[in-house]
Amino acid sequence: MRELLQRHKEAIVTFVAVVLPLFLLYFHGKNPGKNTVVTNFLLDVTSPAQSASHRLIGSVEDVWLGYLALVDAEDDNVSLRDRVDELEGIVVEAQQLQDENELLREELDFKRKRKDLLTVSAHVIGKDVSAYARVLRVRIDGGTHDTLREGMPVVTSKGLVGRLRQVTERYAEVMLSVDTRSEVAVKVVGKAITGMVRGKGDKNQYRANLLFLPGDEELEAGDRVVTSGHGQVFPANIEVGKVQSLKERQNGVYQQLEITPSVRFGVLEVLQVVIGTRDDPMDSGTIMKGGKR
Amino acid sequence: MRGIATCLLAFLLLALESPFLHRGSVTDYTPDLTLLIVLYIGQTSRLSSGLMLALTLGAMKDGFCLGASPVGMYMELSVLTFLLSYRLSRRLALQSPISIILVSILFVMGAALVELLLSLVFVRDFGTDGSSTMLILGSMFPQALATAPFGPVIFWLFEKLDSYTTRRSDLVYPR
Repeated sequence: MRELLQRHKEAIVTFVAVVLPLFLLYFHGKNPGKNTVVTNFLLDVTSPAQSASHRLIGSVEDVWLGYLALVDAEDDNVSLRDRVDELEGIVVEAQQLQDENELLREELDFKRKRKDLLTVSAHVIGKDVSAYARVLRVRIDGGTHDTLREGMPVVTSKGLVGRLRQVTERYAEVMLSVDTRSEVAVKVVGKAITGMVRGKGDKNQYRANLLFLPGDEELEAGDRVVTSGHGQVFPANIEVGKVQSLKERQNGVYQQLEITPSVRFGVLEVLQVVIGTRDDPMDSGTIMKGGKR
Repeated sequence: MRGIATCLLAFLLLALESPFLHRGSVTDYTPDLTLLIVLYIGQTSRLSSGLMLALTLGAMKDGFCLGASPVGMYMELSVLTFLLSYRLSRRLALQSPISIILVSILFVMGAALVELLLSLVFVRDFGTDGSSTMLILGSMFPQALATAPFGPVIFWLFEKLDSYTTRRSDLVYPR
C-alpha cells in the first residue's frame, strides 16, 4: 500500500490539489454569503495584513506628499510673494480710488447745496511749493477754452481756495487766499461784523489776517468767517476760515486778527471754479468743462 | 525554506497591492500577481511542492478576495495554472521579458475563461442576468494587459529570492 502510494504520489497530490478547491468552491458557491471555518480562518489571516498595509501605504504617502510639498515650497513662496506684491498694488489703487470717490462725492454734495453757483470742475495739475513745503500757487487743467477768466473765484466743498490769476487757453493759475495779494470781503457768521481777509504769505504756515472795524460785538476763537458777497468778486457764504488768535492789533482804522483757512491747500486735488451765479442773466444753465451748457 | 519565503513574499505583495492601487485610483483592472507567481513556480518547481505552493497562494488570494468570489475559486485557478505552466516548462523556456509578457497575457485570458466556467458551474445565481458573464468577458483583455507588464518584474523578483533561499546542496549543478 505504502509502495503504491509512493509510486503514485504525484498523481494523488495532483488529484487532491485539483479536487479540494472544487469541493470548497462547490460548498461556498452554494451558500455565497455563509461564513464557514475556512472563510473565518482566511479572514483572520488576511485582515491584519491588509490593515497594516493600509496604514503603511498611508504613512508612506503622507511622507511623500510632505516631501513634495517642501520641494514646491520655494516656488510657491516666490509666486505667493509676487501675488502679495500684486495684491498690495491693487489695495493701494483701491484706496486711491476710494479717496478720489469720497472727494468727488463731497464736491458733488457742494454742487447740490450751492445750486445758485455755476461752476466748472478742474483738476490740480501742479503746485508751486515753498522751501517749507507750503503750497504757494496751484495750477489747474482748465482755461479760457473752458470759459474760465481771470479773477474767477475758486472753491472746494471745504471752502474758499482763492481766485484765478493767470489764465491760458488750457491752463490757469490759482492765487490762494493766503497770498499777500489776496483780499476777500468777509463776514463773521452770527455776528454783525464784516471786514476783509488778507493773506499773510507766511512761509511756515497757512494764515490770513482778518481786518475789521471794531463794533459792539466781541469776536471769539473759532468764529466762522465766510465771504460776504460784497465787491461782486466772491459769491456770498463761502467758508473762508476760523478765528485763530484773539490778539488784536491796530492796522490803521482796522483791528486785525489771525484766521486759519478752512481749506487744506497741501492736499488740493479737485477744485470748482465759480464762473457765475444763476442770478446772472448771462448764465442760465449748468456749464460743463469745455464750455458746453 | 524556498516555499516559506515564496509564500511570505507573495503574501506581502498581495497585502500591499490592494491599498497601493486603491490610493493610485487604479481599481478597475488590477494586475493578477498571484497568477504570475504561480506561472513562475510552474517553471521552476517540482510537481508536488509546486502544487502545494500553488494551492497555498490560491488560498491567500481567496482570503484577500473574500466576498468577491467564493472560496476555492483562486485555489483551483492557481492549481490549473501551475499544472499548465509545469507542463509547458519542458517545452518552453521563459527567458526574455517579451516571452514572459506574451505567455502572461495568454494565461490571464485563459484564467478568465476558466473562472467564468467555474462560476457558471459552481456559483449559484451566477449568470442569471448575464451581466456577470459580460463583466468577466469584457474585462478579460484589459486585465491581461494590466497584468502582463508585471510578469518580467515578478520573474526577476522571485529569481532573486530563489538565489538567496536555495541551498547550494539543492542545486542540480552546484556553482
